[in-house]
Amino acid sequence: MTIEFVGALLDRSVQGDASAFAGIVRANQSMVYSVAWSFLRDAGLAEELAQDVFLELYRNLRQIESGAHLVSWLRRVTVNRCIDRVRKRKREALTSLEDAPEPATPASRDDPMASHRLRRLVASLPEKQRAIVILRYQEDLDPTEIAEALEMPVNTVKSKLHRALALLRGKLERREEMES
Amino acid sequence: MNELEDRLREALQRREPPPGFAERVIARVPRRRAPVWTRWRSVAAIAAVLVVAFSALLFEWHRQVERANRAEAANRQLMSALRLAVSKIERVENRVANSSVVVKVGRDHVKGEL
Repeated sequence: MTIEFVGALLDRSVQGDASAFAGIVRANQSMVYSVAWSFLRDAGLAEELAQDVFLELYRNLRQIESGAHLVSWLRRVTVNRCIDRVRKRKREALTSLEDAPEPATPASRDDPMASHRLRRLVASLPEKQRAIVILRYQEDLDPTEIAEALEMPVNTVKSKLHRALALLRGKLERREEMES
Repeated sequence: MNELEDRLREALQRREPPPGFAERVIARVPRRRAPVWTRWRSVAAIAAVLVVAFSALLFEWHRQVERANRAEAANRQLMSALRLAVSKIERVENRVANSSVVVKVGRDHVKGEL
């Protein structure tokens, strides 16, 4: 679905066309749900959060200027809500990266569990780093777009991304050394 | 770093939400209230109907009062005409009663009072 089509759906939604709003939801549900799922690693929480994001969008439809604005708005609100949610449930949060148990088997690309372990490691990153990694590798955004979405300087995005990757790589290398 | 980035891209692929997600979102969307002018339009229509009905009732009531007034005036006129007629009749009767009348019966003249 193109940005232009989403823009057309937006115009009809603003006029009160419920089916057009359903079209907007269907066009963006994968992005919103995936970001929430990667962040929270809980299907129920991810769906609840994604629904809340779309309801907030519905309430703010008149402030959205275009299809592109709508997509970036959804991305930004989803990430911000994920960060808030993680901060609120700190007590039941996933273990931090330092405390995370080592993967039981080496994480090779052929290992079907490798992706699962890597996702766990990503989910244990600090919130901002996690958001940056998800937007970079799931949503394929470049640092400038991530900086816009998270409302932070591009250099901060780059340094946090670098730190997150170093953390993840160190963890994986430690594991591989242990294996060898 | 490239290998790690590739592995991240593979691990962090998008996934679809459970079936029926969009329908569940739409079910939570609050029903949009009718625009203000639409709501006022129905209020204005009801008010107009009430005004017309009230005017019709008022008109009918006024007409009946007028008719009753006219009937009463006619009644008064009739009564005064009757009273006038009765008083005239009484006056004639009195005059007749108080006056002597000569009645000719054949060749004899009979004089007397009625």
